[in-house]
Amino acid sequence: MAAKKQDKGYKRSWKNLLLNKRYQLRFTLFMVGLTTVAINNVLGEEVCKDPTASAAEEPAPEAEPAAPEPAPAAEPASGKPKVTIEESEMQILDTPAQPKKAEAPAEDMTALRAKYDECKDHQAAQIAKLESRKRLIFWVLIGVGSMLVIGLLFYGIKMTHRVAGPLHKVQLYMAKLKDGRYDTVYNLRKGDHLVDFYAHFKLAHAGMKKWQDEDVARLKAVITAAEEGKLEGRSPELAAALADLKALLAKKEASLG
Amino acid sequence: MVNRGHPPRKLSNYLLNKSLQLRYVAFVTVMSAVISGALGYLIWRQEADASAYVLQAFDAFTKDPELRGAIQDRLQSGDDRLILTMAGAGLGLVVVLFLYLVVMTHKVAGPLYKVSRYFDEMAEGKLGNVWALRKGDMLKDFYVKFKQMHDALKKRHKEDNEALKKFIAACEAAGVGEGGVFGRELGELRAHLERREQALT
Repeated sequence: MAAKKQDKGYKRSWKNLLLNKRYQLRFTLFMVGLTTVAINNVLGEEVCKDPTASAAEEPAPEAEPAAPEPAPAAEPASGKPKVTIEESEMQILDTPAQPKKAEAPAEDMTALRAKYDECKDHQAAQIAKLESRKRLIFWVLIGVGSMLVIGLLFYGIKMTHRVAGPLHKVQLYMAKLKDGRYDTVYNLRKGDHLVDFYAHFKLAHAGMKKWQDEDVARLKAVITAAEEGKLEGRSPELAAALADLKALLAKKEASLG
Repeated sequence: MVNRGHPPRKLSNYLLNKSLQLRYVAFVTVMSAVISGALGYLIWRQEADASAYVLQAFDAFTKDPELRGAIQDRLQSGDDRLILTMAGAGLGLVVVLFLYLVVMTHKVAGPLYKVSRYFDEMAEGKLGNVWALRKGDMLKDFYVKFKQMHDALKKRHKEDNEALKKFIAACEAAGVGEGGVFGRELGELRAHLERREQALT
């Protein structure tokens, strides 16, 4: 029952996630920072760039409409908005009023005007659709970017904790060994990494403990034989050495718990 | 705790603990590649749709094949540049993350590998010399604690050997230990001491 409990291990607490802050944060924050920079600077810039800025740097060919233009006749000359197509770096500017070559019949003008209005509406709808999708992409970018950053942060800390946890445990046992205590080494928690490394440590601990066991057995046998042979009275040096040996035996037995 | 005289690390030895290192590397790089690829695709799709719409709007107003071709070329080159920029950035992110994680995990796996070898020696009962870490290795605090423990064990091992030697010398000086039960036990103790001495080499 005890062995089963030992194998199962105890559950980790989120409060102890940062066991080795320097290693864990150095590891994690670089990943998070790099990803943030990459998303903000490259993808974000592509979404948020101002098409007019690049158009100014690299002027587009002048659009000289070849087909008959209904716009100048239909729209007032002043205060008209420029039609700018986002993302394409191209602007369709309202052309200046052209001198009329000939008067078109009234029906043709009405038909042209209707077609022009239809085109304008379609154009406005398309631009609105593109704008709306651009805004959506912007928010998706922010959302996914934030989730990626948070995800990487938690993943980094969680995964490094699974390395730092066993190291912390090994450090505790090493401190005990340093003080001469050979306690029982328990298993790692479920999900911990460094299982192989921990197995090496357990073997090392067993190797050192074996020395203690052998020392204890050997010392007990020698001390018993010395006492049976009443060697203490042979010389003061021998009596002192035997007393030292008994003290050493007592220390070693205490270290084994 | 850094060994300056140690040869620099080799490229082929960067994956010392494949299961530990590749677990991080694969997960983070694949996830970053998929997410940045998906976002990049969305942006490219938007750009391509905007370009298509520009041409559609152009066709609605004018019929100039030469101008249309020029505009189309310009839009195409813009779209191509966008793909190249995003592919380059995505690839750069993945490559930098991959290299960073391999190097960083190596800097952890290296000391662990080294300590594991010392643990193997200790498992055989040996307490030889412990050398310093390489420059740039991580887990220095852990390594310092390991070395302190190893030094303490070694020191105690030597002190115990001295106590045994002192006892054997006292027995020899008193002229005991030749034959009999105690003589046999003393012989065993000498052999045990010899093994303990060998453990320190």
